[in-house]
Amino acid sequence: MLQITDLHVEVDGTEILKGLDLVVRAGEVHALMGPNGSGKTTLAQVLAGREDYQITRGQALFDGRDLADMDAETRAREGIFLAFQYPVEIAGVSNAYFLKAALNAIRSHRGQAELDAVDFLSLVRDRVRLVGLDESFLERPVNHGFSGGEKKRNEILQLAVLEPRLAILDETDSGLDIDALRVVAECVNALRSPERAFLVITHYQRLLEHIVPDRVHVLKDGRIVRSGTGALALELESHGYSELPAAAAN
Amino acid sequence: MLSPFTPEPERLLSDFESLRALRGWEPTFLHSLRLRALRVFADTGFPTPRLESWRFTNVRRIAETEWSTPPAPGAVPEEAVAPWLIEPAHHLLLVDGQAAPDRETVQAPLPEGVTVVSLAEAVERWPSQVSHHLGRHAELDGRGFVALNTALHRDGAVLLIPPGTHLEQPVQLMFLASPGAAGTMCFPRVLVVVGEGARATVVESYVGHDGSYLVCPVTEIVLESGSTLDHYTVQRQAPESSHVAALHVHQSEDSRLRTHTVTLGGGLVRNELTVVLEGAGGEAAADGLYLTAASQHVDTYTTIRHAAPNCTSNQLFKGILDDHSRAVFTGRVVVEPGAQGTNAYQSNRNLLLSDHALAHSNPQLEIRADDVRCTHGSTVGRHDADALFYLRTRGLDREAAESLLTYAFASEVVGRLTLDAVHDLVEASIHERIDRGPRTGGSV
Repeated sequence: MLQITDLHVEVDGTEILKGLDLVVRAGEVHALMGPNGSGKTTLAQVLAGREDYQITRGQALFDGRDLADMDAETRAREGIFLAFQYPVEIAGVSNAYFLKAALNAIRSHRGQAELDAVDFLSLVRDRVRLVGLDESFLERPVNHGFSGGEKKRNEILQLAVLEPRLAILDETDSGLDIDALRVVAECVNALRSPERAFLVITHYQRLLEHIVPDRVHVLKDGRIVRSGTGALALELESHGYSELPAAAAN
Repeated sequence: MLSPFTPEPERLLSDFESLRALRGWEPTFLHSLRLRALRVFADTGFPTPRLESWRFTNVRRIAETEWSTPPAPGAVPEEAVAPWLIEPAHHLLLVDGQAAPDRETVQAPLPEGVTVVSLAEAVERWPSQVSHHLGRHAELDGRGFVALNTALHRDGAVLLIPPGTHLEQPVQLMFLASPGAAGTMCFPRVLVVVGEGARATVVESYVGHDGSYLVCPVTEIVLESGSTLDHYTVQRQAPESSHVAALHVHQSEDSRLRTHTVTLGGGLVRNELTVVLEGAGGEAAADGLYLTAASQHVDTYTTIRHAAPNCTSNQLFKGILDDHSRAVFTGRVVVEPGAQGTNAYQSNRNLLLSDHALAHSNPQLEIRADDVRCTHGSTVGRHDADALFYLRTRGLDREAAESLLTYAFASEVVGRLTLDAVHDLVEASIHERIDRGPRTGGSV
């Protein structure tokens, strides 16, 4: 589904990703770990289509298509979803309006009929319960005045409504208490399917106790320096990242 | 019919005499008020950018035009007015500044003692009440347009709400520029007196046919103690027209004002708002929204004068600027000595949709008391890049994302338009203006 080869990315003239390779197949859950500044969020943003991040070498293919040829909205419509580390506040637009606009943009791209207000509400109410939120949440402006935890849950709500094929979670666990973490994890687990893949970016092993990954990768200085099974996450938890090589090939 | 004239000060006095002949009999107070105003205008003339308060707005085009006076109002086709009527409401229609003769002025029965009439009728029937307020609040000195309106107004509207009366339905004053307005200038004059403990809602609508004309209204509002007024000005004149308006509000103790100024049309627009909080415990909330495009120039100049203790003022003005348009906002907050316990907030935010649009924002605080809470903020900028990206990662294309963010920006002010009929009218106008691309999704 996602095939990244020798990806180099510059941000404001500084190279952040320095030859990253990663293959994610449908149905798999991959965890991406690594110290601060290693390039995790840069990778997430590049995959979502951020235009001021320059791909200088290599490529990322989604279903065999080069992502460089697709703008952010096309990627979303084709099924890529990024749960932001810092979701953006948009005062003046209700969550419901926003979700409906997004869902209908994606549905019409897929050749599906747009949902009217009634059908949309019955779908979204269901998903709101799934992420453990109150229905009044839909009437509040997008992320505006939300607590950190509410923002993260709102990202998962969007994930549940938009039903992407590739979901990238950028530190969705940071700032969540253990109960919220469990709710988020349960929601992700409920959405796991043979057609859907997850790339879960996290600092902490604790999320991976709830979302069990097929593969764990360690990103350091713009490259994946180690890959392994869930056991690798435990190893990192006890030894930290410092003993890892600085950008050795894996 | 008068020959066209340019309101050059030296020519005005002779024109004034002929205008007087045209108007017929007037009570002495009004005649002396006009004369005084005319002398002020003769001294002051039109404002120039040399004046601090007119630094960014040049009215030379108005000053150098040979304007004529509008013809007597003829019959108005229903379709010219209907789209702008709010219902239910008491309506008063003024065509080119004068009460329309073929219309019943006020349709629904008014509560006992409430007066909603044309200024001409009020002057004839209640001269003492009119003389008590007319021209007493709108400062003339140094203000050419207010002086000109005071000298030359032919008609307008007078609303008198007696003490303790709660007027349930809004009063809509509809100012229509007719097809005959091209090349004319008119000076509508409005007086609103809300008695002690009374409540009312007043909507001033300025709309018009295509054409180059000048509408220069002056509105004086008096809020007696404990009264409440919700006031709206919605302006959607022709793009070639000019609109130079001055609104003056005088507030007694514990009175509450909410005033909303929505600017959708007009080529050259100046909206002045002056609020004097003269009684303790008064509250004034003023907000505004201007949507500008093409080469529109919209200048908003507000003065909130805290002259008594424990008053609150809250200003929120937002602008959405496209193409080569210009906006100016100057917000003066004056806290006089003795106005302790003042709370004053002011915010002006401008969203630029084009590289060629330009907004100036000038907060001016003059604080001469010590127990004062005063905050202000102003911004001029483009759409937030992070918000645009966020929306696009959810599948909205760039145009839909921009429209959504533009609407979101406006909604803070639109949300304050609590009168549903005005809210819906303004919301529809905004959608019409900002939905340039295909819309994604409807309302929920």
